[in-house]
Amino acid sequence: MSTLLKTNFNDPFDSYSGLPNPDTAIQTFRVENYPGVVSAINKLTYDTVEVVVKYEGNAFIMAQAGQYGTLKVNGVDRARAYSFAKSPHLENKNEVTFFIRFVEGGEMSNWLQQPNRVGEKVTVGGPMGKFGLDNSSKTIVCIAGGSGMTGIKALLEQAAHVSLERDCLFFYGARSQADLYCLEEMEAVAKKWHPNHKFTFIPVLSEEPQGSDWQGPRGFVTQHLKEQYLDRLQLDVKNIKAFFCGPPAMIDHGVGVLKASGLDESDIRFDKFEDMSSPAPVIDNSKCTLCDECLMVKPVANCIVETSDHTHHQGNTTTQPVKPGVTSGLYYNTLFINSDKCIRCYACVDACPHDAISPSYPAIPKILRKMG
Amino acid sequence: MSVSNKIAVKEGFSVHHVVCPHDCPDSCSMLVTRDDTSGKAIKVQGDPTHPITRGHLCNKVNHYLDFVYNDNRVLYPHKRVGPKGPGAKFERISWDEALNTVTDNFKETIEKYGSEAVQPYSYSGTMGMVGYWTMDSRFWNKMEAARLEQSICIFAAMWAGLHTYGMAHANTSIHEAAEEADLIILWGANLVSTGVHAIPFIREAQERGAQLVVIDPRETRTTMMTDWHVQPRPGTDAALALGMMKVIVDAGLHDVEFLKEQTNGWEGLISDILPDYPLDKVERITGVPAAEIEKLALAYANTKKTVIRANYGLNRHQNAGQMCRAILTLPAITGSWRENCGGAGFGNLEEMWLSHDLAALHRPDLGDRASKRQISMVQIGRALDENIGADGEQLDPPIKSVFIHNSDPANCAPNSSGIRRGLSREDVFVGIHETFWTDSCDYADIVLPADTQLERMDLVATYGNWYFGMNEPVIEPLGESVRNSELFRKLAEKMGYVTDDDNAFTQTDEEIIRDILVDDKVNPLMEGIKYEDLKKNGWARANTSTTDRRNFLVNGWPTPSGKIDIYCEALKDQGVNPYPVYVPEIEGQEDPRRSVYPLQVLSCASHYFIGDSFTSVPRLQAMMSRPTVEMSPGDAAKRNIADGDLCRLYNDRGETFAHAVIIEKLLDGVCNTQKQFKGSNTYGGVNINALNSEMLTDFGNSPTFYSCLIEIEVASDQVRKGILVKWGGEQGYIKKWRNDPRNSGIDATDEEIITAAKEIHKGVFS
Repeated sequence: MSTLLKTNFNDPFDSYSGLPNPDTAIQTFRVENYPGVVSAINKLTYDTVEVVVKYEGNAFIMAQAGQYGTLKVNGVDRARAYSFAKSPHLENKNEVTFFIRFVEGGEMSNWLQQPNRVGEKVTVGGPMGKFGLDNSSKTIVCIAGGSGMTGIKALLEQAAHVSLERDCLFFYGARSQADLYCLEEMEAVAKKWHPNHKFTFIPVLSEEPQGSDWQGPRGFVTQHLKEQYLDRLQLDVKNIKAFFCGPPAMIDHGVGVLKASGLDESDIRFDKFEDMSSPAPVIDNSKCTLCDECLMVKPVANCIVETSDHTHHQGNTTTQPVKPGVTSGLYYNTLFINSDKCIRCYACVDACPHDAISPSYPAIPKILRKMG
Repeated sequence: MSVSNKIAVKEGFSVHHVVCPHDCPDSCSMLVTRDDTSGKAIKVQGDPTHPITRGHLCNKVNHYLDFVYNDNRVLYPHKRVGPKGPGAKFERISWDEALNTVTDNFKETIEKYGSEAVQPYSYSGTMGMVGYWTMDSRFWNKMEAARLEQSICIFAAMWAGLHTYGMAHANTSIHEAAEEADLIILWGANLVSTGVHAIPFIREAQERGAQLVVIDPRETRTTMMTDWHVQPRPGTDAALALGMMKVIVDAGLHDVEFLKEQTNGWEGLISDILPDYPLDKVERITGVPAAEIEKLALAYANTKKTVIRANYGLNRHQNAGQMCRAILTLPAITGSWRENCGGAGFGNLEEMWLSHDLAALHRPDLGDRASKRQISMVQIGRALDENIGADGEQLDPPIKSVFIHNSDPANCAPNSSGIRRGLSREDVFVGIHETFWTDSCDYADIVLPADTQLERMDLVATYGNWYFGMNEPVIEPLGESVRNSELFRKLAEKMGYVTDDDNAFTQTDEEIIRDILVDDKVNPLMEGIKYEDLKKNGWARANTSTTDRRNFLVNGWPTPSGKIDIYCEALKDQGVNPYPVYVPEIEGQEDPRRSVYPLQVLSCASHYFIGDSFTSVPRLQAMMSRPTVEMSPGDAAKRNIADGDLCRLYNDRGETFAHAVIIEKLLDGVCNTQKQFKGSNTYGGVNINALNSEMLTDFGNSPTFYSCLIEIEVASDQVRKGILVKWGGEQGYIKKWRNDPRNSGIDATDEEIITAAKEIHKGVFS
């Protein structure tokens, strides 16, 4: 065999030459990643910190309040997704703020709790998600739990900033008084709120010790909303829009409560905080139109891959990438979410205009081409 | 410069309204973010407030910045140095030299041969009203140049509609209709690839319980959306539609009241035509089982709210006119038109485009061009190559000068080998205004740089929904590129066409849009739309109010009879059956020549390109990967073809090469490849358009891209030898090898390359 064949030989009869390779530098991704450094870590409660990242260059993250971004640190395998904790107008130039709650055994929690993390090089990405206020004049009902404070806080700060002419109730669920934070920020929002409209912040504590000095409501936040407001007709479901942010279980319960009270599903928006324990979403290839909207918001390389071939065996899928000019085109196969690379940001689920991405779809994709 | 406030951006950046100008029924409203410091567009996204765009774009336009900032763009005027043809060399020249060369040629040609020897050639490279047909029309009218019948896409379908309903469409597009309809039929419409913004509306309809039926001989990503895929053999849809009508009438489910009040010729259809379409016969013709035809017909007749969205692939068959008319007649039989969502249509191009004050736009009064000869753009190959005109007579004078813009005829028109030969003639001057270095440019004497939609102002009237879009320039033109209205102003000046007493060639784009298109006294669709509002919002819905001029059910239909013409006198005058009927297509499923060339090749719109507009976008070319031919498992097995094999597609007229993709559900006797593939990116240098003919449709003068019979063989050594000859032998092989980016950085001598190639392909290089 000639030496050339042994090394590398791309035969013009197997592909056609001169095929341009996509230049990733000019691809119009909507999510961009920027190098940055941790400029501050401030304690908010015993288990929640504020992390401020200053990122480099002329870059900008065009976040609208309610959107989220990613944070990748050295030593933690995957980037993590967090809501932007401030309305864009309150952020310093080239800075983003996240609130991060420590989780038992969590990689990011461990990383953040090491000394001298300020000054560490990190990567931030964004913006992602479509969570945000609607354009109606209906009463805003926000429900958040734990670090779900972030997304809602940003929304409310922006609403106050533009003097939105709507009433608002914000139900915030926490375990105890020690878990409450951003109280000053909520006061600031109340102060700036449009003078002709009401803003009410309602913290609800689920594990506050009996007999403490807490005067406010107790119990689960969604139950409080139901019993004190919906059941007693304090809120007219015909005139509200609901916005949830936080743990999936709280949101699922709250959505159920609101729907049972007659609120239409289209009047509910939410941003669920998924983590690595959540399933990776799956693309239903018979709904997918290959419009590339999901690829525009990819947080990391190779979480969604363009395949020219795939095999499915005992729950494991092996894929072959499209090799331009050499393999089948993407049209005859499927976009595929690699669950090992997926960071569970669910930005693709949010971005898909065709409802083609969901964790509940069947794992084996239908394809056009006759396989093997 | 107007700035949109639809999305928030930080200081130093601004957002602008752009309307997608490509040949697609969606005409999306886009928001483009510009970095005001660098002046560069940096982000493209769908307008979330546009009711059809809904904030998302398609796979093509999501990569629009790769289109705009593209290495393959023509940025400066060039003249050819050396011979015409693939690999032609060009040299940059000044705009002044380029304009002088072009206009000197026009003047000389007119003087020697008359103005008819100058042949303009343009189509849908941009769908903006200004860019598509304003300054260029005025220029050619003034010159009295030969006319061009721009029939390459929609004419059979358009004339089928005009002969049936006149210039009338439903008040809803498929998007809006899907919000109401309980039965949606996509007839030959692969909307996932050719109008993706309808898909969310249709999916939502399915979610609320509406039935989706897709009628398509192919299996596509659109047929994958439903369990109800009806698969007629290509070109037999008229029989299917007429068979459905017979079932409906036999069951007494036709709307007699509607037929009496609103249609002309229905009794004749029922008594004389439908008896010819019994179910067993229709099954034999279409290949669709009788029971399925019956089920579909009854579902259609028994559902009050139905909509049929047909698409233009249907009108690329030789028997297309009648096929389209048969489909368009169905909703008249059931009275579906009574419903707001009802009826059938290919879109609404005729009303959206032809309602404008076209005389003010085109200025036919500038010269006596109406008397000049006309060539069908479908038959430009024989006109250039063999001097044959529309009537089959010799062209006298022959074409001496061609000016091409908004089109790449070397790839996009039928008989592309004939076109390439014709453009190669040394006695034909070829001027081209282009955004990219297309294959046609290889034959040009002068190539002039064109801009993109981000660099110009225009108004876009969609043809698949009821929205107008206002496009504003976001960035300065790249290089020395100019929009085509500006080009024709410059040409007019050089030709001495500009006079003080007429603004035909001095009117600005803004004036054309504001004063002619928007402030239009004759266009009912523009009633109530204000220029400033359109500018501010970026889009506006056409006024389709049914209270007055567009209420066809009350006021009558804009046809000669004032009713829906099931019987059409004008067609009878053309020698066509005045009733919709099924006539087997020439070079179709029932053509006896299938004994020699057994496969009917379709060349449907691919998912990645529109025409060949997007072949220069690296991402799209990469995901398309390579030219493919879709085959049924049976047809592939008969020819020992495996998935991925390189194949030769051929008939008496030519050959092209593509890799086999075996599609489980594709019908035997049918295959599909891409007519949009850039010829120079294929093995043989030409795409499937080298194999089809310049035959025209039964009426409407559309091309018959899909009436094309071929045979396919797997690439044997003999076939590879043929390819090698096209490449120019061993030297050509070496050049291809070195041009392959995957081989870059590999150090090899010519001899080493050939030695290796001989080892792989012993039989080819012997």
